[in-house]
Amino acid sequence: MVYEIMMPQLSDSMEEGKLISWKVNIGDHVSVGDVMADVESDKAIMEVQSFKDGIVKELKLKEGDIAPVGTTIAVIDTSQKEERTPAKTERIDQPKAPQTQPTSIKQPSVIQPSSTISIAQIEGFASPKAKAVAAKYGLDIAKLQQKGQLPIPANEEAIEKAYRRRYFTPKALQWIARYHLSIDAFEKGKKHGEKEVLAYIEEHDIPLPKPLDPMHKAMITVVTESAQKPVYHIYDAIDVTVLKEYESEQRTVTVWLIKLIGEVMMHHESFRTTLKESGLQVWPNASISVAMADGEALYMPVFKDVNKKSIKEISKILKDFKEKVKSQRVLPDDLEGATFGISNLGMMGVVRFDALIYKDASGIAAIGSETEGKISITLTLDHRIINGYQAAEFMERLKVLAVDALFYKKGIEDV
Amino acid sequence: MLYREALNRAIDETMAIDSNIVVLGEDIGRYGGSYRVTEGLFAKYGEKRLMDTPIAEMSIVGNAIGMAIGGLRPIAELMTVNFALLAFDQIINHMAKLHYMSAGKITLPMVVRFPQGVSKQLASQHSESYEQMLASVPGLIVLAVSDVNYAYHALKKAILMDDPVIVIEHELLYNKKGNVDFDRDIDPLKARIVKEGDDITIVSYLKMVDDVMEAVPQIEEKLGKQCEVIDLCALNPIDYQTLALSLKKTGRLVVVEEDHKKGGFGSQVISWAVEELFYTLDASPLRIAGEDVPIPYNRKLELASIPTPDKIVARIVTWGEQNGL
Repeated sequence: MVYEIMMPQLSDSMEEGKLISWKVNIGDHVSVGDVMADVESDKAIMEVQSFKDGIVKELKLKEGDIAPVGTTIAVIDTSQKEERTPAKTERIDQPKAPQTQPTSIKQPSVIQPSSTISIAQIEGFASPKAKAVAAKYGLDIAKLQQKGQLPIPANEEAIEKAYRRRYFTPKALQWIARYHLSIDAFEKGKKHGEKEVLAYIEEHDIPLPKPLDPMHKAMITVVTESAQKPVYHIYDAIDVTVLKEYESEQRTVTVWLIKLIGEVMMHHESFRTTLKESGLQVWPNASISVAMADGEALYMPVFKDVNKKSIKEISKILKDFKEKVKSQRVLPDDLEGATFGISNLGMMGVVRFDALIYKDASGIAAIGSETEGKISITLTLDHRIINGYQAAEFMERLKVLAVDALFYKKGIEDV
Repeated sequence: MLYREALNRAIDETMAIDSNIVVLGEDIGRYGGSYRVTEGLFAKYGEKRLMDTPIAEMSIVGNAIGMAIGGLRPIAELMTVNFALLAFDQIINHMAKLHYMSAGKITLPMVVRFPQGVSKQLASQHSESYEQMLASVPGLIVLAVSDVNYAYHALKKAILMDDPVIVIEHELLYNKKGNVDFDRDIDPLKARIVKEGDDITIVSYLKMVDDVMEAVPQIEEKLGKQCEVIDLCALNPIDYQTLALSLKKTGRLVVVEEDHKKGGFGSQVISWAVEELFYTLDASPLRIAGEDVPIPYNRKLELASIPTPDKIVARIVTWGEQNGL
């Protein structure tokens, strides 16, 4: 490396300097702080020092030359300093000895930076905790470090890992991780395989821990809130003999029921009402959430403005939602805005059941299976929003509309 | 609310309920305090309860001790800890000891408050920290205020306490913003967990808590580990229980303080951890402190002499890597 010494700015007003005399020759060894030259500024003659160790390679000015501030006046080769140091020190030390003495008195005592202590990393180095754990497992830290199986210094995590690697097969470790087992449960100083771990799980009847996924957590929040609502139930049934005449692959019982309930809701505003702290909100259209499950995943996607939709449209939305549920691509927006809900377990043969109200809806209808031309309907209703009288009126209208052939005819024609 | 406003409110509220509470110090009355902590109180409570004193720190604390013996509850404000040195005889020989030496006959329900620490280019005679001296004096309760909520609750409790309390503030924190939870009381002697984490316990106090919090996101990103940040709050007594719980969880201890490293307060925390929890330590404890130089005036050198967020990140990351984190 090459280090250039510039004409220094020795005062605020100095623009150029005159080299009075060189204090070194080409080939000389210089150390940090050695005086290189005397330079005259506009005010005084001052010393120019070297800030690096090295060999003087070039002196660019002759004594008496004038150079502007910032131009290179000398070049020092810093890479050669070590090679020639031994020879140099002898020569320099003698004249220097008396000189360095007085300057060192002027220097303030050297301040040690607060953290420079570095200790050689020796095998056997480990944290106190790591040593305690290694002792428990009977591991020889120094030996493992020699083999490169432990870092220096070793910490607890590294010891645990080393122990696991040494005494458990990878398959065994997988089972241990899956069942959240402690490795302390297995005899120390002995190799353990998959079989032993599985036998341990069987013998101690250990349950498989299953962390809750975000969807499951959300479901728990929703049903817990729902269970705190002041609800009551209405148990009834509707005649579906007419409905059955109009049932087809597309126009399923569920599709008809969504439309039926949506129509009836338009006549009963309490079923289009939600409750917030600020009071009740009555919504202009009938939006219904319908329970759909795919294995553990349960969603309540919302059929918005059912009153404005045709049977064909509802059938299409139902199909879309089924696909979304299957591929788990239901959007947050799909789950908002219902004031009433439907849960149909009837199609799976359940005769009668009741359901939990979804989010801030006013109620939900649980649809059972068909027996003797009737299907059971159980309403779960939030009494803060709908009272028994209003619910009875709703049920009454639903029963009447359910056997109204005109309703179904219109539904088929309406494309 | 600002830090100084929280302190003001604590004084105001206690003065309103107890007429024995008085404030004395330089410029605390008509001027409202050098850091505006007593702003507005003179107009409210008058010159008998807000006493402007001469520039004589020993007499300020001496008078406060006399008032406390006589039944008042004085709050003495000293402009900075650097000047409080003149009052150390009163603080250490009298304020800390009279209750003990009188076999409990004398109680000193008093508070001495002052800021300390490195501000901006106030040079070495106005930038020192002396918590290490005060926290080692038996008989004094020493609180270090880093947080706005703590400022309000801790000062209020300190004023109403029957023991002599030193409340240390920091020059750069007076305009710090924060929220005060007026409904939830706190124990001023309990350390505050500023942020929870599983892997590294970082203990700090006063302004360094903010610097640590600024450094933590980078540390966590670079090391892939979580930091638990603890504000000691009380320096005497120390809430070792909170520290022990954290350390048992993380096994790793870092202490960050602004004061000079040699003999600094943080060494007490490390020494305790090594004595009491040696076998839970999973890395050598790390102390990040100021350099052992008088605080320089030059801004660059001033910053070079104390921990900064950048330095905290660099030191903890290097240390972490050396210890297998």
